[in-house]
Order: sequence, then C-alpha cells, then structure tokens
Amino acid sequence: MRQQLICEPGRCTGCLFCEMICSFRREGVFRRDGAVIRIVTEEKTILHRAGYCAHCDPPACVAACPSGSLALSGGLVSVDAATCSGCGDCAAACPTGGIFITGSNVAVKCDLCGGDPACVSFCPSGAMRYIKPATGSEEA
Amino acid sequence: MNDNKAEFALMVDLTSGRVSREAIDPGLIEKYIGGTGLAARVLWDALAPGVKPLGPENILVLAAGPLCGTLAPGSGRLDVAALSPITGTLGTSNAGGFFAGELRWAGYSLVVIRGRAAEPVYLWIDDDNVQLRSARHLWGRDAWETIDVLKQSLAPAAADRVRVAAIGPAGEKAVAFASITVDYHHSASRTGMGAVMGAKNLKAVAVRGTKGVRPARGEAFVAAVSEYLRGQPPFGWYTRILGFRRDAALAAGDIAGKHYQEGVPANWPNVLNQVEAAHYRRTDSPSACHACPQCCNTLEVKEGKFQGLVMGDWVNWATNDWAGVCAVDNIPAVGYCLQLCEKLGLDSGNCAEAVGFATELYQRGVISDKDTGGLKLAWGDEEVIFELIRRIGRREGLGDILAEGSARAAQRLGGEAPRYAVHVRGLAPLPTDPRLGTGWSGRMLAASHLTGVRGDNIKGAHLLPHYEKLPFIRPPETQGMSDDEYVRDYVSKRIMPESLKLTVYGSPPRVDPLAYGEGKACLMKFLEDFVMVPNALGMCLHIRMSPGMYARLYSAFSGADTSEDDILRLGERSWNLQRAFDARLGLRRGMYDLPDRFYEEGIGNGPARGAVLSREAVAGWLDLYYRVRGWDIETGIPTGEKLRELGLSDVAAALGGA
Repeated sequence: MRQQLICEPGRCTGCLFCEMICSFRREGVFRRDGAVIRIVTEEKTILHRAGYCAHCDPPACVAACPSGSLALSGGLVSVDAATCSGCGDCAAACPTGGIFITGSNVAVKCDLCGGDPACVSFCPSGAMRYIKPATGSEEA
Repeated sequence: MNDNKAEFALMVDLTSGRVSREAIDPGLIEKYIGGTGLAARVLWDALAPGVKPLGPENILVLAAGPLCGTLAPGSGRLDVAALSPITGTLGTSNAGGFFAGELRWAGYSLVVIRGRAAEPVYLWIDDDNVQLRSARHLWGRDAWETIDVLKQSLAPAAADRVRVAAIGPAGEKAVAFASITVDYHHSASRTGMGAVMGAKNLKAVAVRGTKGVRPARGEAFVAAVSEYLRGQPPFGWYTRILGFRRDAALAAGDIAGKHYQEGVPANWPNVLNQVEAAHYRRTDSPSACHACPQCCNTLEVKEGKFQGLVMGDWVNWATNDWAGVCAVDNIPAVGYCLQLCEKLGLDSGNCAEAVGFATELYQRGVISDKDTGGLKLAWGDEEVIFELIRRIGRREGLGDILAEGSARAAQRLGGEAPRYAVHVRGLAPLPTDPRLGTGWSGRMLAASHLTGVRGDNIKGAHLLPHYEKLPFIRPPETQGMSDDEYVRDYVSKRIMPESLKLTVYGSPPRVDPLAYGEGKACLMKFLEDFVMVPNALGMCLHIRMSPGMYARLYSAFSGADTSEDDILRLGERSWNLQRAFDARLGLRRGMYDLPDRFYEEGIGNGPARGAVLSREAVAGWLDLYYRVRGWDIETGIPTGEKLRELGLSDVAAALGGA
C-alpha cells in the first residue's frame, strides 16, 4: 500500500491547524500561503475539503510537467526546484489541488515531512490521517 | 512579514480618504500587548470627553492581538472598540472566525478608523495595497449579501481567502445594538459597533494577508502549543460541556423565561432535548474558528420548515435569548432568529431583550396593537418574532423605537414601560436570571453584572459560576470519591494561582456557592483580569489555559520574557484602564446597577421561585469587591494609588489622582 495523507471531509472542522504547522515547518512563518495543504471552505454551509498531494500513481503532474522537473520515486512525488519554471501546468493537472506555485515561481508540494506529517499530529479532530508506506498501518 | 520587531497600525481617515501605515509605539505594546487593552488605550488617548458615539469624531478600532493567525489555540479573535452608542461609554466587542489572522498576515495589529466618508465606502486591505472603494452598490443590502458580493468580486477563485466584516441595514440605520457580521457566522455583536461603522458610512472591511507572522522563538512556541493540545481531553468534549451547562440552568431555575418572568419556562425541557438531538447538530465536524481545537456547536437543520439552515459558532446564549427570553419553543426557529440577526447586523442578545421587553409590555397591556402596528406579540409566536426582528433591523414602526435598546425605548413608550426594561447601563445582560439566591450561578452572576466594564459581564466574570458549580453538578467520573476528596480534586483543577486558591477556598478547601466573602471578591477580580489576557493576545476566552501557559506562548512568540505575574498584571491594567475610561466620562458606582424589578419582583416559577435581590446584600458584595480592587468604595473610581501601581500614572493624573 502506498503512503498517503487522508483528510476525511466529514470530520474536518476547518480550523487550519494543518496549514499553520505546515507553513511553519516549511518557512518558520505562520501564513496560509506558505502551506502545501489548503483547506477550501464553503463558508455559508461551513463545509470543508482539503487540497493536498495524494502522491498518485501514475501522477498526472509528472505527465504534465514540460521540463521534467517532477518525478515519482519511492512512493513520493517531488519537485526539482532548480529546473522548475513555475509554469503551473502541474497544478492545473493535479486532481486534488495539492500543488502550489509560490511567489518566486516554483512549484511546491507536500513531502509528507519525511514520514511524520506535522499536519496529522496537530489535527485536533482526527480528520487527518497518515498511512505508512510498508505496513499500511494508520497514524492519526 | 511581521517579525515582531515592530507592529503596525493602519490609519484610515474616512473624511479625507487618506490611509497610512504607522508603527505602534513599542511602549504601548509592552504595556497592553494588543487587543482590547491596546484598543482601549488608543481610544483613551484620542477620544476627548464630549465626543458623540455616532459623530464623525468617534474612532473605530479593529485590533488583532499578536497571536492572531498563529498556531496558538483559539487565536482567531478580532477586537472592535469605539465609544458605544448604546451605553455612551467605552464599547468593546469581539468576533471569532478568521478575519483577525488575515489582518495580521497583511501586517497590521490595529486598524484605526476616523472621520466620516461623504458617501458609502468599503475598505479593502490587500497586504500593503489598501483602498477605500465605493460601496454605493452595497448600501441597503444585508450583511450576508454584502459579504457574498465582496468575496466574489475581490477573489472569485478563492472566496474563502478574503475575509469580510460588514454591517447590515441595522448598522446603516444606527440601531443602537447593531453588530458587525464577520464571514457570515461570526460577529462583533455587543455594544453597537455596527452603528458606529454605519455612522461613518463604512459598509465593510475586507482583508487578505499573505505575508504571515514569524514567532521569535518558533520551536519553543510550537512546543508550548503541542504540550497544551496533548493535555486536552479527546475532541468533542467541549460541545458536550455546552449541553451540560443547559442542564445546570434547568436545575438552578435561572433561565430568564418570558423576559425574566419564569425561572423554568414550560418549553425548556423540549428545547433541551432538541439541542441534544443529533439531527440538529453536526457532531463530527462542528465549525472551528482559526486554530480552534475544541469548537462551539454547529446547528444544522435537516428536516421541516427550516431545513438546510446552518449556523456556526452556536453557543448557549442564542438558546437562552430566543428560547428563554422570547419563549420560542424549537431550536430550528432559534437558529432562524440568530440568522436574521446576522443578516440584518443585530446583536442577537440585545435584540432578544428588545423583543422580550415588547412582548412583556404587550402581555401586560402597557402597549397595544396601536403601538405594535397591528403585530399581536405573543410568547413563542415565531412568525411574529421574526417580523419584529426585521422591523427592528430596518427601524420600522415599533422596531424604530426598540432599535434604541429597551432602556431608551422604555423612556419613549412611557407609562409603566421603564419598570420592565432589563439592562445594565443600556446594555442587555446575558440572559440568565441574576436574582437567583439559591443556586450555583446566582450571587456571583448578579455581582459580576455590576462590575463588568462594558455594561455586561461576558468580557468579565461570567465564567465565575463555573468555578462555583457545586453542589449542583458532579461529573460521573467523580462518583466514587467522598465529598472531601471531590472538593480537593475540584479545587486542584481550577485554573488560578495556588496562592489565590488558598484565599478563595481556604485550607482544607471548602466550596460554598452560597457564600460571598472576600475570597469570592478576589475570585471575581481574578476572573475579570484573567479574561483580559486572551482578549489582549487575540485568543478565545473559551479556550481554558493557565496564566503560565499564556505567558509561555507570548514569551516564545515575542522573544521577551513575560512571566505569569506580568500576564496577570497586564490583565489588571487593562481592566483598570477601561474602568478609568468610563470614570473620566462621569460614571460612578451607583450607575452600575440592575433594574429595580430584580430587587422587587420574585422569580415566577421553578426551583428559585420567589427569589429577589437584596439591595443591602448587593451593596455589601460591591463594597468587598471595590476594596479588593483598590478602588474608591464611594465612587467606584480606580484610586490614584492603584493606577500608579499598574503603571498608569498619566491615567491617574487625568482622573484627578484621588
């Protein structure tokens, strides 16, 4: 079973703990635009869904990248920032809304924090879960 | 990005249309941190006595505390302050949601709004790009429509990335208790801040911030949050507690039914059952404000006349307001009342007081069909109640009179009407009955109504009864304990400094909810000061955190070393400044009072039937409280000695330094 994050929409409260800790882990700053997970809220009915990389196999983003900057390896899709032009084709092709183009024109995305995703450990309602690569066991 | 080296205020002059960014004096940050206290200080410095709340010279301050928009639990609260049109004194209000975080990410801790625009405008804050834009197309629209239009026009691809605080028709028409609705389900409800916005021709403030905030000691900050979260019970505990509170109200008989005529209204058990019913609540995913680990309830009506109605931020008070004071008998209709208020831009609490007041006058024959424009006001008649809410929001007919709040409306209606208005300095108190002499909430609550700095006790000691809920409630897990063990366990878990516990509960600890002595006065003072801490940091008062944890979080964030004592002193300073603000306007001890009816007329039914307040007892409680506060017992003014001790020498001098 491949490793992946799961956010169960029916349990997400839209609190943004995931975005805050994600942005802090990446840049030492709290802000929504620094995160590579994005909670999208329909505000009137208060329903949420999360956009994050599912590390798909086969990955649509890899196929869409004109510069070959994206690759799937060891169950993890990653970006080579040195060659990425920030064209956004990957983000447009991504079915989950899990790739983000930064202000400095580079695609950024979830790397599962090296196997210990911070968003999962800070999710207060238990909506975020992580499935480990080899065993398929879950951590909430 | 905000790196804590400096904090900035966005200065907006609506008269000239000029906006500018100014660094906030670091000395002010050191003394007040932010939020309510800082906003109050800005107003103390800038508002000379004599300013009219609805005049262009009033100043509206939006304040996002330093922790807003971080990982700190509950760090989504926006403070709003101005001279209040309903009390005529310092008005402070507070909204949840996500607006405050965006404001901080855009680089601002304060927005200071002066003057009056020549025609309707809205303020658009997009990081450093700040504009005043015409709101002619929005004027007359309700708050939800306004929020819809602005989100769609400013960020069509990501509407939830722009946060909007807007007024509805009530704010435009200067309803004295008009609110500011924030992103549909949140609002700065109390003290009429929406009317101040309307009088300035300011329809809305929209904000998007992308710069973010950087904690000075990031890892220490995250570690503190992590430790706090690990100490919390499993998710879902908080929404259960909210139900717990309603049961306690039933046991105590303090529900303020039919506008304070009944301690336990006949509809209450049914209402309670409905609140608990899963089909009216989203139990798995209640809605959160920014970084909230616990969530208030979310109402979702899945069947019947109000099918599809969703209301977030669902705390007790809407139930007490509409099902209690106005005797609505079903929760979906209570939700609809609340939604009407959010759309019209009305404070639900003060609006329910106005509706309940009018209904009682009609019941008693003080007003008739002639006054109501043909509306047959009746307890729990939801369609009539909805219509009266609409008329208040749009100032039509009787609604135009009630829009002044029940205190001033009573003067206009004349006759017996003033006898039935329920308010403290114009503002409706939280709708639990203050007369209760026999229960867990009574005496403390009554006293806290009279000590609150803005005319109610929400930002004050309203949590006090939770500290004194014995002997009514004993959680199931304590059933195996002896009474002594339970009391020791209970006291050990109270959030307060150990030295204060000794003063309040003694040794060995004893809890007596019916006693009121110096210990209780100390407890009230502590809770009031303590509530000002989250209100300074930009955090929610429903997040229960020790003074030490607040100090730890703020220290890690700011890089300064702030102790538990510093934090509590900051709360006390804030409370004293707010009291001093009103003292400078001429407020004195005797003006902080409940209406005569609570001293003369007993509760109509239930376990507290017949309870009345005694003037002698209340005066005694207040004497003790003022003494503990270090305030003048005759006048209620903070003494020069106390103010100087808190580093407020200039405030002492302005008050005459008595």
